[in-house]
Amino acid sequence: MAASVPTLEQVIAAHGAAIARVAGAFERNPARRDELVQDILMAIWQALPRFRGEASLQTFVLRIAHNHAVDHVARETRDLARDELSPELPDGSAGPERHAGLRSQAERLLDAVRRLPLGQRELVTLALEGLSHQDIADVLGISVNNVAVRLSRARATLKSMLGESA
Amino acid sequence: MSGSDDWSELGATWRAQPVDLPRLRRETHWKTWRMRLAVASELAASLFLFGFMVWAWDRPDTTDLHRYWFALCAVALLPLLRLSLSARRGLWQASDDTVVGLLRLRIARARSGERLGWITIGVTVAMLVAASIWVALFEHLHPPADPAHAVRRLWKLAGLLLFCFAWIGGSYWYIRARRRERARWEALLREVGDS
Repeated sequence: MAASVPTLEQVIAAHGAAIARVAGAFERNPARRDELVQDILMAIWQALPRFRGEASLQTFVLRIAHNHAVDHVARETRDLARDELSPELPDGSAGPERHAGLRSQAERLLDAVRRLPLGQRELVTLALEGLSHQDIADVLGISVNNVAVRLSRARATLKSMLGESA
Repeated sequence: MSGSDDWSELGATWRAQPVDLPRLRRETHWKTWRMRLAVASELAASLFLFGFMVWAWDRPDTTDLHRYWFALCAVALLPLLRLSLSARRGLWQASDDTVVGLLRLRIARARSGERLGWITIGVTVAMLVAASIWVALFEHLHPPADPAHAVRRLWKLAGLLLFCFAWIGGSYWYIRARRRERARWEALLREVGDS
């Protein structure tokens, strides 16, 4: 039986934060990141009638988000490393103390993720969202074995980056 | 701490990034509303145009030339409207395809753009050669009595040549741009896809 099609409101409530995090991993500039989030949400809105429930809604949403993120990266000609804008987090609505604590850890993590090569960044962001190897393979369109091998390499790179910045 | 605990902790830190969901919801609501309004305006404008053509068809001051234009517009209106709505619905790209699928689609599009560019150059050159042969034959069979007439014809030919060379140059620039784009997508595919 086909799954009932969720509304955009439901998608935002359940996966809006994940979409914002994906956008944050691929775009440092806050204004362009907001645009990327909106582009992803519009694409999801247009694609929702095609959602048949073959994969989970999370996989469906993250696949669209990653497609747009890769498109975005390919179209960007500027060098992200030389971007002068501050590497802010997606947004700050948490309380000041909790926010400060999160910033120090999450900022380091986000900064390290942003410095990963594109292929590794995709794997790591999907794995950090809690997707299984099978789901990551479904999102990217590569084999599960390849996901396992590359993810282990990407984790090692990420850890060494986090070690350097500690 | 084991590697998997370490990774779970990183995952928790990652997912704890604060995100302003109410703002996201507001902005998205506003954007979907604007998109719906744009589609509704487009439909209304098309209906108005169609109604105007029906109204003007039998007016005494409408000439046959006007009617030809009306007929052409009426025939073109539906496919154009459909094309515009399809583009808005994002049917030109399978955004819910896999990342690798999307990259392959982009590469295929860039390659077809390159092919289109080469076909354009080929057709232009072929037409130029055919036109030159035709002009040369015509000149040979009917040499102009007035030398000024021959000069005028030469100027016309020079203008046509200039236009053709500019057209070929533009097509070549387009091919190079598509080639660069394809190289970029292929590099991404090498990075993301199964090697």
